[in-house]
Amino acid sequence: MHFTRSVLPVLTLTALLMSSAAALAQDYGEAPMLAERVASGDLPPVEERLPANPMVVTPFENVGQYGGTWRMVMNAPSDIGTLARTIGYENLVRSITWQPDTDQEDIVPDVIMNVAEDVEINDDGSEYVFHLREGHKWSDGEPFTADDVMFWYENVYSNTSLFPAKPTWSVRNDTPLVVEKVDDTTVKFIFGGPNGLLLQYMATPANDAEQNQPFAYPKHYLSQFHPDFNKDAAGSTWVQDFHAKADMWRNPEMPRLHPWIITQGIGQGSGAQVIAERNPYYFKVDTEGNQLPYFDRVTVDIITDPQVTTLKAANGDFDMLDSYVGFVATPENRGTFFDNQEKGRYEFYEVLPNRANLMIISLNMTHKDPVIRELFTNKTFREALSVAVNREEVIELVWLGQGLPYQTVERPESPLFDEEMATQFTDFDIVKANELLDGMGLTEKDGNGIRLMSDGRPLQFTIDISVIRQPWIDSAELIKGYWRQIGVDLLINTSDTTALNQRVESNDHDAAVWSASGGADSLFDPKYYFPSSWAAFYATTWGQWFTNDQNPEEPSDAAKRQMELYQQVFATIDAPTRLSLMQELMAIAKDEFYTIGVMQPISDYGIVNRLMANFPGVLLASSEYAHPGAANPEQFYYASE
Amino acid sequence: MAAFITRRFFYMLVTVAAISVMTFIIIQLPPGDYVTAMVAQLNLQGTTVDPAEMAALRARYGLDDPLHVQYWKWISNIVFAGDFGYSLEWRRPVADLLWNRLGLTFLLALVTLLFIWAISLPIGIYTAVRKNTVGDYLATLIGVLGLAIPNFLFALVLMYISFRYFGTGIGGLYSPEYENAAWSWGKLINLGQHLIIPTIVLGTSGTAALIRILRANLLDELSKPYVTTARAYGLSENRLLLKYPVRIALNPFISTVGWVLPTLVSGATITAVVLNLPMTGPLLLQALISQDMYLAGSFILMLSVLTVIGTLLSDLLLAWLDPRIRYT
Repeated sequence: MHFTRSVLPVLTLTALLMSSAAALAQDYGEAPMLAERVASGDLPPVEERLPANPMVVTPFENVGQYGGTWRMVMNAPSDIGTLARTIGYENLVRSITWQPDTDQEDIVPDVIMNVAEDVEINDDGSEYVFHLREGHKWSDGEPFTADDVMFWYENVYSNTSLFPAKPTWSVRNDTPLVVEKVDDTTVKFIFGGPNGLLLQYMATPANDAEQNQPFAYPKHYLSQFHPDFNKDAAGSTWVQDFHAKADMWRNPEMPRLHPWIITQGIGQGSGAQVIAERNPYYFKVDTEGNQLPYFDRVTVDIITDPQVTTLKAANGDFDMLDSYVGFVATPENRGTFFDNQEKGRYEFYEVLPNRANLMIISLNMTHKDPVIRELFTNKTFREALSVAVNREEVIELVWLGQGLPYQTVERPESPLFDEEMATQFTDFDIVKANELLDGMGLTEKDGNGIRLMSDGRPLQFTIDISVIRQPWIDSAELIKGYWRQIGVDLLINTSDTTALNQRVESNDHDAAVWSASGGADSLFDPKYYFPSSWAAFYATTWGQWFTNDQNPEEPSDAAKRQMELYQQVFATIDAPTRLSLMQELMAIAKDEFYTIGVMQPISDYGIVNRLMANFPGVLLASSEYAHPGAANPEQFYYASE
Repeated sequence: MAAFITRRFFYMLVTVAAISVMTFIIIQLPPGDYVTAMVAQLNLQGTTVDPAEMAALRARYGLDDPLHVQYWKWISNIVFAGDFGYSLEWRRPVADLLWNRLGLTFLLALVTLLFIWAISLPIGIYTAVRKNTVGDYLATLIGVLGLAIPNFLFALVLMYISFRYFGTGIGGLYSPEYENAAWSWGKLINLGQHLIIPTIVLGTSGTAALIRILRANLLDELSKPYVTTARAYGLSENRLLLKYPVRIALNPFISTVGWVLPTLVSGATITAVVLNLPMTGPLLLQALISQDMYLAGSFILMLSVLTVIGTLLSDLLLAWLDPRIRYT
């Protein structure tokens, strides 16, 4: 079998750093709290705890000091995303710490090795050989080897009771993944076809508790709860019990590879706080050979009320939060945080969001009512509605001027950005909008000045808005006024997100509002640019066709072409080819003009403890790019004052 | 007496059984289930869940079963095994979560009850004895203000004041350094400090009503002949007041004891959410939002049982206190 070395240049860089670590091997440093435990015979010495080739993390500014507690906040017991992206971002591979001066040719930031030491990919990207680190250990000191990966593959991934559905990344051409053990530190992943985005996908944070990831199932611990190994475990509730045992956020006994290990999980203690302490077997060191992490402990408060989080944050009770961690760094709160900088002893940092648009209006083009459907699928109609929105005013009044009047489009930093796509149909022009509608033959009006549709009903439809973001509702009120001037009557229906999703899934909605994310998210979840799932509110049933879900309906030719292109994106390992395929896909999205975008936000902000060192001043945030995990939280530390 | 209690106990069982059915139906009424709520939450963070994965989750949690099957699973486990089921969101047994928070909830309930009584009893007596004086009006005004200000608003204002001028003690029951410390004087004092705001917020809303009721009842009693008689015998004014009329006027205090528990467990929810108190209310609210049905259902069932027991207790107390009450 023939393998080529991976083409990513960053991997070579990592390999270089790795060799310099080997030179230091005799001289590792460790945290004082661990040194004490070594002295008392409770722990083996640091050289024996680290793998033969520990991963070397270059500190962002300088080599840090041990100690301290990192205080964070999460907004619900189910908000495991926050944990996964801060203290749990240890995948086989990871994203680089993206900074504004990073040269980037791909659509998403580059991927580097992490838990895996190296990877070899064959020519067509259908076989991946991962090399694990010699001597790598779980947090309880047991070895982490190819057997753990095989346990995951044979007894977890392939067990249809545990996981009836296979994750999308593992299935190519309807064939699920096959994993083979080569030797103790080598595993081979064989796919049913080219899997070009595998590494990028593996570098995304796992937001799901049952993450079904190859490196998350310690065989020595979990096999005791699995009927394949322990007959006593085979009760009627074993599936649920197994998942509970394998849940790294709720079960403190579960061994893991993270820098900090949970000592009080979600719902334990009073249920108000999650606590994690340093993992004595963590596999990374800094450039001087000191074992990471620097912080001794991490505490994460569970606070459901955003007002409380805001006040506590302004009081300096948390060391870092933004609109992705803590979810309270909104434009409205900026003033409060600014005023309390001295008192709360924090400073601001910049967050480049992945949010392509904070408010997109989707008209349901697959509407059940043929008259409305005909109207909504007419691009001229959508154009008329779009030019009738006074975006400048909406941004000024509702979003405090913090945005650009753009359609749904990638951010300017992305190679997929298209100026023309961003600004098409955004010039506010009521006269033109009226002309466009007149041109469509919608000239009859009722006594209230509302246009009549072809069957004589007034042109009135409902827009569903989730109550989670007040600015959506405020903006919709303004838009209702603008559209009134062109003879279109808008009804606003606010509801809970669950109810909204329910309506959309059964294709019962007229129109809906949501935000759009971009960057890495567009690559893995491109629903804002073509109907890739039911959550594409502008063409639910087309999306359901793509995912073989309920009420599928054959999409338009353009959408089908996009789906084809997207399949090719996944099948290619060559970044430039992938980019041009995505550009072609975007060009169709631009032409089809599926959604009406209102505004693209300018950069977000976050607040961070003034003493927190090695913390980049600019962070990139996204749901598919591990923010802030990619900035290596294990090397954050408190500088003394 | 024994027959009365037995009969009441039987009624209680029927009531609770009926409530449990109602509860289960009501929590199933909102569209969707736990899985849709979870997907909505993930959606918010930009993650889309595979339809196949959603179906698998539903199958695992038994959300596909018909309503009566789900109900029977739930209630039979509670009745026969004392098992309240499994919280889908916390992924822990419901019982653990409940007991965890009930202790503090009862503590706050007790402190608040004492606070309400300590304030409204003397003020009630004072306003009755000195009716239509400046003092009466002033006390009434303050009481009514307490009743009129929404609890959550009051909590926010007090929190802001404590943030602005004291810089500590915002939300929660302990400062971070005591959150997971072992019990000590320091921790107890810290807890006491954190209880001040919730007690004031929850207490003030209850005082006005009791003040007015006590005042009205006492005024009725004060003009009765036995008072005049006692006064004629030369009983000191204080002794006279406390021994007879006040005792009778206390009736409303006792008859509402039964409601205090459920009110504090559920009624204080918004305050507890705002103040971030690890009490039962926010847990119930969160369970309802995320459609965590076994947790929400067990909660409501517990509340009903508490109300029913509380009502029985206050009935018994009343019978003991007020000789006019007969049980036949």
